[in-house]
Amino acid sequence: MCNQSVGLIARGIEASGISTVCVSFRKEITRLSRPPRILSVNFSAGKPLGNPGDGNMQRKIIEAGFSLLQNTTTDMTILDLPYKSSKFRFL
Amino acid sequence: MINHLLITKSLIRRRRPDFDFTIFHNSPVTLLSKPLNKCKLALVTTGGLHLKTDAPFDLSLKNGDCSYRILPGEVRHDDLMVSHKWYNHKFINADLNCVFPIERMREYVKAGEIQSLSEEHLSFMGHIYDTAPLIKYSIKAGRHLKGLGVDVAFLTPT
Repeated sequence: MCNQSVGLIARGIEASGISTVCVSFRKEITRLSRPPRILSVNFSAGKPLGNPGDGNMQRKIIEAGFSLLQNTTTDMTILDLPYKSSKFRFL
Repeated sequence: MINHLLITKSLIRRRRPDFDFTIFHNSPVTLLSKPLNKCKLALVTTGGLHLKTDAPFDLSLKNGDCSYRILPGEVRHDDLMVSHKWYNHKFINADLNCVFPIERMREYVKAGEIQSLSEEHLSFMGHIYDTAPLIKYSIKAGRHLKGLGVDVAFLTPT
């Protein structure tokens, strides 16, 4: 459900004159609402930017978003990110 | 190949037989009018975060609580709690940044990659069945951020 909501919220914010990029871990759902920029990730619910403590992964995803924001686009663009997170073990 | 769309719809319809996804056929597009290092950025999440001192999201609402909460720019992990029962909180409890990457964004400001962060960020509770009110709230949220001079929003689901 959050993957639908994030796309719908992005639309409303974008329509207010703000450039948006939204992360999605279910792009087939997010794309139905056609937000202009989607970062598609392979992570599970609860960790859209990867495992806790993985700052490098967080930076890779954010920087991909920055790149997407600077592209000239006139319609929905989806960037599929290849990263995968290993099973996270809590100490 | 797994069809997540059909699986998700099927699971939701066990609880809400009338449910369907909201579909649009075009995209609103606002192009960046200046370089990113001149932009003010806001974070927006659907993770149900809110200040411990703020009203929680109303999880008893049948169609979902479409309102949003304001998270101050200087917010710390200890200031926050989560009112969202449809995802596991163990990851965000361990690291706020895997849902709400505020510390990463502060680093980008320090490095000069973005000019500044918004004085306020926004949090929704994304488990919404009836999306019409959510669409209204998202426009309100956009106007709110625009009023703060925000140029760019980075959104995360949970």
